[in-house]
Amino acid sequence: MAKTELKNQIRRLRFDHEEMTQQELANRAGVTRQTIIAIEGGKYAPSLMLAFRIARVFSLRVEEVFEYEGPSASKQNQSEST
Amino acid sequence: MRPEQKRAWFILGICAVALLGFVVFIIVFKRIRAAPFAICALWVLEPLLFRRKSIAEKVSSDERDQMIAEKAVLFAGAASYVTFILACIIPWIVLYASGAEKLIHVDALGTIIMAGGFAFFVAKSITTLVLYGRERRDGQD
Repeated sequence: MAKTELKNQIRRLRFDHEEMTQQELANRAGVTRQTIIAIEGGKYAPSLMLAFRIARVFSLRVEEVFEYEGPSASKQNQSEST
Repeated sequence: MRPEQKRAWFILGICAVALLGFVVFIIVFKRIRAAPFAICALWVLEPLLFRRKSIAEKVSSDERDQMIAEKAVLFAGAASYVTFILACIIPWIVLYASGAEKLIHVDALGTIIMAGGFAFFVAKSITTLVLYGRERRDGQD
């Protein structure tokens, strides 16, 4: 799988939360550890539901955990109109 | 290694043995026989051999596993289709385009059908291994 345009703070957040292991986060989010590894490495873009579940584990909002790095919608609209 | 990867390696191993047997039959007996593919019956052991053992891992599969499985089946279906079409066309091209007046042995029919199924499982296993294999370089705890 190619690198996604979704940047995340999961690694930092895990360490901020008493050095939570990938397995612990996986169990709490209801996924496998390999999926957490893939998300952390930016190899897999989680579904909206999974993104919410991960954010909830850290008691944060989704946008505080994940950040979209692709072109913004307004920029895309501008380039389409020209 | 995930159970899905172990299953894929197991299927690829069986397919390799079956293919080897098929080639040996052609070389030694000079005949095309689908008999070596009977070894594929060992697949029934698959659910018994690869069960989840880790207690720490509460979830056995998730959305990503499902996505990989869907992609693998899609790719395997395409590979199977192409293989079946080629297996149907190639004998006719070889025999008739060259101007030879030969008949295709009835045993070839079973082999052609088997080739489609065989390609499905090989392509599914390879796709599964490739999609899971991409994560190997990532950092782990």
